[in-house]
Amino acid sequence: MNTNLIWLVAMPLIGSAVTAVVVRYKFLDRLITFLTFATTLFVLFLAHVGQSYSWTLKFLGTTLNLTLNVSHLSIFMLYISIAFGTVLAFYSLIDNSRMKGFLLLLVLAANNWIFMSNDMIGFFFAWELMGWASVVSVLGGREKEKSRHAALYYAMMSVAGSYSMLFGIFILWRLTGTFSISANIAYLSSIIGGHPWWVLGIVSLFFMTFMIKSGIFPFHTWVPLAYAYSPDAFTPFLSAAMSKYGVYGMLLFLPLGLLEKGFPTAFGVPWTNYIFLWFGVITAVVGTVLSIFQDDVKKLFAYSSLSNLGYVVAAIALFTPVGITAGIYHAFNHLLFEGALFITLLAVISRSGTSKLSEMGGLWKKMPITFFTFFVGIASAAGIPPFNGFGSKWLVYQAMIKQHLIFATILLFLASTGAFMYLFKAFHSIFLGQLSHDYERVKEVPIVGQIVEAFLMIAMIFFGVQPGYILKPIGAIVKSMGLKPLPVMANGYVAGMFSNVYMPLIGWSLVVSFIFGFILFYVSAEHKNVSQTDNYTAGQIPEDWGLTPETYQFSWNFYQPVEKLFVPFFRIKIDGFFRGIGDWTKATGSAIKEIFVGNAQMYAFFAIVGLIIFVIAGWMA
Amino acid sequence: MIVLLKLIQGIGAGALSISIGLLFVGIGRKITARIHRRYGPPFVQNFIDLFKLLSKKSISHGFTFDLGLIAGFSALLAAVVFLPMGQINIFPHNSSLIMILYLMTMAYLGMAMGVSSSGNPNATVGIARALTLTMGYEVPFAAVIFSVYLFAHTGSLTNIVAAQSGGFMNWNLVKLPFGFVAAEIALQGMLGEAPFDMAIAPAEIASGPMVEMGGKYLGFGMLQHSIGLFLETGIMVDLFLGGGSNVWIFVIKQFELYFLALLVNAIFPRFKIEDGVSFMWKVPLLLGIVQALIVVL
Repeated sequence: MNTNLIWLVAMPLIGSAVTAVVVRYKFLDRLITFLTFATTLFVLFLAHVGQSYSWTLKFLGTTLNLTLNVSHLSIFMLYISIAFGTVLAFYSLIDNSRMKGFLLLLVLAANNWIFMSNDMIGFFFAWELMGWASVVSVLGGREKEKSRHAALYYAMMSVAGSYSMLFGIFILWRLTGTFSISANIAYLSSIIGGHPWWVLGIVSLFFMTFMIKSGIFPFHTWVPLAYAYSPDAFTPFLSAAMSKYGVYGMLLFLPLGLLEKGFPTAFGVPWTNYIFLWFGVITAVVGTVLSIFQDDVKKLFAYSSLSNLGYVVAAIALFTPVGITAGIYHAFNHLLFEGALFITLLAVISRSGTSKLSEMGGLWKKMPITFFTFFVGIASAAGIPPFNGFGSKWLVYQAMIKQHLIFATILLFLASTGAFMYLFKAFHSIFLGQLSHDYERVKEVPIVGQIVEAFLMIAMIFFGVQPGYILKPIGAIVKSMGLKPLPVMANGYVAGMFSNVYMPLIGWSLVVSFIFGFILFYVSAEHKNVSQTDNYTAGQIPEDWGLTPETYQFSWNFYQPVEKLFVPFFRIKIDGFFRGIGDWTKATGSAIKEIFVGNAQMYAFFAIVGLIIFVIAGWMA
Repeated sequence: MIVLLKLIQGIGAGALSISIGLLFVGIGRKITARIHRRYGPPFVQNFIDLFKLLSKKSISHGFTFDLGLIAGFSALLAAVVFLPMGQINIFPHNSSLIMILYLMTMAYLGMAMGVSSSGNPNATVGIARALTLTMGYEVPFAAVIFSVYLFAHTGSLTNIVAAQSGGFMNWNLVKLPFGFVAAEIALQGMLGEAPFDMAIAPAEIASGPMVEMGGKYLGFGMLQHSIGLFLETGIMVDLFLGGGSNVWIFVIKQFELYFLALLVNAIFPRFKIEDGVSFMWKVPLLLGIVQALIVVL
């Protein structure tokens, strides 16, 4: 019995209650949010692997066992999500978007509960709490109408996921009579030999929920809407931490496929995992391609975020030691760089007042710290060594090549180069090029924001150069799943299947060559700085053309030639499919409503039929 | 002591790559001229140009412009030291192919940052084209990487070279012929030679990325091009032509590849950007996949 685990859930709930009272005083609200995050992080230091806490609940004559349990995976997830949340909450002290602290704290409570819960009732309850708190959070975006629509869409998808999970939970409860997650998974693995289709069906119900939460194709449609129109200060948490709940859930259920030795395989992977892997690969490609054509910067990075989750899913679906390591490592890297990128976007949007790429430009002069953090962020996201993000992508490729998955490897490479394209597009359109007259008076974010940005920049470089600090706990997770972990040599090494990379060496090589570069630059002839409009225009005078910095900036239709390549694919509308379901539901609903409202006798008749079915069902059960 | 030794070796490798790269471009100008029935500049012209450019006063568009061009040059220098060049192999245990490729993108990111912070849309159009083309040639090259990794059971260039030792018949050129052709076409795109020179199309977008460069900035661009040429051909030699028993043989093999690229460059017109990409996704990709399937099956 470790009561400290209770505090991990209770502390954010108390903080949430307090902030709900002072919600009208913005700074107080944010301050208490930050302090609660920091305290929760402190409470987390007291938690250790193997601790558990359980209590029983008597409900309608049934005894429910609620259990909290700290495994290697959960403590890793708890650390990264709470640490990132603390950084974000610190930034939010100076933020003026309409994010509500108490909602963020409710999400934090749910976050801790999800990662620790070992019973399905608690897991489901926490999942719902997280879902609804985040849906309400999305409502406070900059554009009211659009964020309402986005929240509704997100809520619908969440509800669909929740029903699916609830259905799965009750089937399992019916079969085993217990809500314990580990007992149910053990049960499933014991029957997988005899009834593979049953197991697949039940597990699919859970996976649908997890795929919706992580935004995996074909359930990715809510992601860009919810990310783009949620309050700017909430989006980093939505992208960095909340997308990991799905990954965590998948990692709970994935070991099933391996347990049955006679299970049919494709490329050395159980065929169920093989199909699941393709969902990940398609997500990576779809996210990348759609991201290339976005003009709203938050939508662009929303697609980027889900594309990276495609990598994570593709890697963990393999369920080989290198695959799991790569997947969890990429999940961590994604949290760090995507979180940092969304925080810099928050800074940029708060200063420029727009999220349209075509309206920005040249901001590096005005916001240097933000600029450098963003630069390191996109270098990480593009997988450039020695920043973080390289090691995990590199391991993902090796995991794919190891299993002889040709097409998956090629498509993931395509997604990676495509990532470079959209990252550069965002980079150029926000920070480079001509500075518009509108932004002449833009200032860098306040000092608190600069501290957070610099901290994240250093973190991205540190975890890139010293990957061992992350790979060691991941090794423990892999071991706890019954696989042989990859060798961890020194802190600087990433050990792969085909070769090793010593990251500090790359760092030093870059440092030395940059010193040479600067020396060569400063010993050669001097230069003088000119104004931004002093450009080559083939002898024409820009004023004669009526050119202003705004019109001399290339940021509209950036990758127009690429669009032609993907025209056939744009005809497929996943969103249309879901809207079709929505319309159908509406039509059916109104038909049913006709029955009920039209005739009282009819109503009574249905009520009686329902009652009879209810009684029969209860009798048979 | 070992650190100092490696440092000196690294500087040597950098100097070698710069001088060989500049020499290659100089000889290349001569060869192209002769194909065009011109006399052409002397083959040391590029060295002369470099000194001239570095000693000329120039204009800058701000700190990111400087930093970007320095990064373009320096990150490639940082990548060169990991390349096994004949008997020169400074870090034999740290020569992962994918690592070198991704480290090179740092240089392209730096270059892209520099030229687009100049504020000239022509430069940015050029970069956008270059990145689009990257998406084209990386895909067949991924198939090639896949084949080589599985064929040699290693991802380290040192070990890939070692696996090819013992004569011409052991080279991956012979063992993986389709992969070699695919990689050759991808290399044409990497080098930015015709028919894949849309990024620097002089007549359409005023030389694209180079439009705002003058003086030492153009000099840095030239240096970057030379080192990039050295690295890209060097990777190909290590992958397919068995490296080299010493560095001069390595360089000769590199030149053979560059010579091939030059001949194609001299006689071909330019692809439209989307046509270039779709070509890359048809012919070389198909060859790469055929090769990968042969290796797997």
